[in-house]
Amino acid sequence: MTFDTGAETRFEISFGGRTIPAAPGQTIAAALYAAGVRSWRTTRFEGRPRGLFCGIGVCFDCLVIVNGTENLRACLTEARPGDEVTPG
Amino acid sequence: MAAAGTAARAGLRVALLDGAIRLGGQFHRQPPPGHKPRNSRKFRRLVEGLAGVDVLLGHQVWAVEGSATAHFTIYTQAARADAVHAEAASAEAARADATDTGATHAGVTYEESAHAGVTGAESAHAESAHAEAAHAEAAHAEAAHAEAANAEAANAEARGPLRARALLIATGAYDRVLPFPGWDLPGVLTAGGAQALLKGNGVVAGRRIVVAGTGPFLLPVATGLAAAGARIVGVFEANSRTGLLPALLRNPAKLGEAAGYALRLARHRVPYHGGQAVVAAHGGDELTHVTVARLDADWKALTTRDIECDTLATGYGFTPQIDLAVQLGCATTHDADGSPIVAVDAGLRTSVPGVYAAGETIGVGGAALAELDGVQAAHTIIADAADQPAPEPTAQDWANRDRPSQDRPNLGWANRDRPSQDRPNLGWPSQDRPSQDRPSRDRPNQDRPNQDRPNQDQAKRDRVKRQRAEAFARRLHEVYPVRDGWREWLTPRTLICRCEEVPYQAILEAGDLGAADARTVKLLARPGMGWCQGRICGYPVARLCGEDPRHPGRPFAHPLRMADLARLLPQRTKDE
Repeated sequence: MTFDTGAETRFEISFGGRTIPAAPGQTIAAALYAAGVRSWRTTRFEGRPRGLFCGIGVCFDCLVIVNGTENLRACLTEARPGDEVTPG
Repeated sequence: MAAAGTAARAGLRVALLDGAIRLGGQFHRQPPPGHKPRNSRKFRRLVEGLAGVDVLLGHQVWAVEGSATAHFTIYTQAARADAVHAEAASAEAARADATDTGATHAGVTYEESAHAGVTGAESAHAESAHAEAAHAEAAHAEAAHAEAANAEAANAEARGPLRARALLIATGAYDRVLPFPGWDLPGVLTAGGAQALLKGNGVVAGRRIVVAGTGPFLLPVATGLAAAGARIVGVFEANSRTGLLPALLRNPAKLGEAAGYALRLARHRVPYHGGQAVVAAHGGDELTHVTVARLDADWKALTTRDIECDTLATGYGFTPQIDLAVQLGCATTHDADGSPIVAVDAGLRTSVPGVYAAGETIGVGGAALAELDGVQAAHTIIADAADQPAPEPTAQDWANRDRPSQDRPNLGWANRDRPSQDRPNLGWPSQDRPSQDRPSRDRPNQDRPNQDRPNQDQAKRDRVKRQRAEAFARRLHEVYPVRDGWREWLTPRTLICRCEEVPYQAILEAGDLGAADARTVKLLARPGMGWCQGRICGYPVARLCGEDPRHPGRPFAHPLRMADLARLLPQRTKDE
């Protein structure tokens, strides 16, 4: 579910082999959420699913790997065309 | 933003450091480029006010050290590690910095520490989500990379440390959340998180949404999501819905705001329940429904019912983000709700000379108050920089602004950098100041750049406005407290610390082993030792131990990767 974000400027990122549409200025978490992906990590001890929680960079639940760079907070990391996102 | 603009118009060299990639903080959070800007008139005025300010977006301040007598060194990291494309203007300014003073600290120069960026942005919640480094001498620039105020939102490149003579900390606050069974399920978000997703990204968090917690912030979240097309199944306010009414009747502006929310709730048919809370969330891999309870006066659950939803937005007030002030040794005190905040005097000076604080860091009070704070702080910085008495009274009454003076605590900061009797001695070192620019004590006031200094009437109006806003903020704390009955919502398996996956059971066991305070519980059971460093679980753990949360003692205001830290020490390595 998303607003009109200017179709002509939209681009794609990938998450676990899946293509995710994104708009300029959107965070990776927002793009994933808009595509219906709400969890993208499992916890170390109990393997519980995690995704977005605080949404503003405080809680670190939403960690992802972007183009090989680890430990990025999906809620703060702006999506760029072609980003390869893998579960943190 | 208000402070930066005010100080710049008075002729100070000002850099505004914002961890986010777009201006606006939490309250004026802006949508992605190409969208209609939000809060247009007020926000536009703030942006226009930034003429002459070096706006550094995507700069998360992770540490500040130094003092007003030497200078403050401000360490930043970029919002994204692979962001290496800086604005042209920025690059140019960075070179100017490097030539200006060498900009060295501990062997670090701009060149060597470039690209020291890692993750994430300023996480501050509420309005002025940025640290501002106000440089107090117009002709002596150190902290500066110019960037268009509404820059194209490119993630900024991290550069070397900045230097400043004065520092205004306005890092805002973030959502305070309470644990309950299932709060770690995907689909459970903080209210501020849902709001950020919507305002900053144009993404609605879900289709069937429950909003729960306490405080007026739930209303813009609920109405915003409803207006964007989500079905808001209900807003569950744990306190009374009408507790604020007497205060609203005395405050026409706020009454109008409240009436606006009431209308919007009605228009979208959103039920607003008082004395109820979400006490559990359920689902396999994602949220499918929540348990809502009627609460008694202490928030223990009475009757319960289940409600289907795919998303829960929850928030129980805010935690001020004061890490930088604590790093600098600024004295702290407690907000009306027990949250640690920075202690300031009437001019918004902290206990450390040259360091000022505004907005939520000195007490949660909302965007309007934060803006008034910013203007006040700027006037104090201007006055202090000019070695003139501030327009506001100062003296020894450092205190929590929320408390009447007669019961101000003795802060007893004898061991800290206590300012001298009258006012902080900022001690602008004369050797660092080109003499021709040095304001003379004898020079009449009006010779200094003062086009932005309000006349007496304006100052008085601002003062009255601030007092009203502070009184209203106090009232909010009284009307929307957090009651300890939430502890009864927990089960032994409920996670308290999300990062380290510490269940309530482990906290209880630590207590059985003799841990009587939050610190000992942390050492035995590890809550607060994970990535977020207790930002989320600090409040619940403290309350479970019967304490108010302590001020944070984090050496880094943002988690930093070792590799990036190591890059700050290249010269030392070479020497060895």
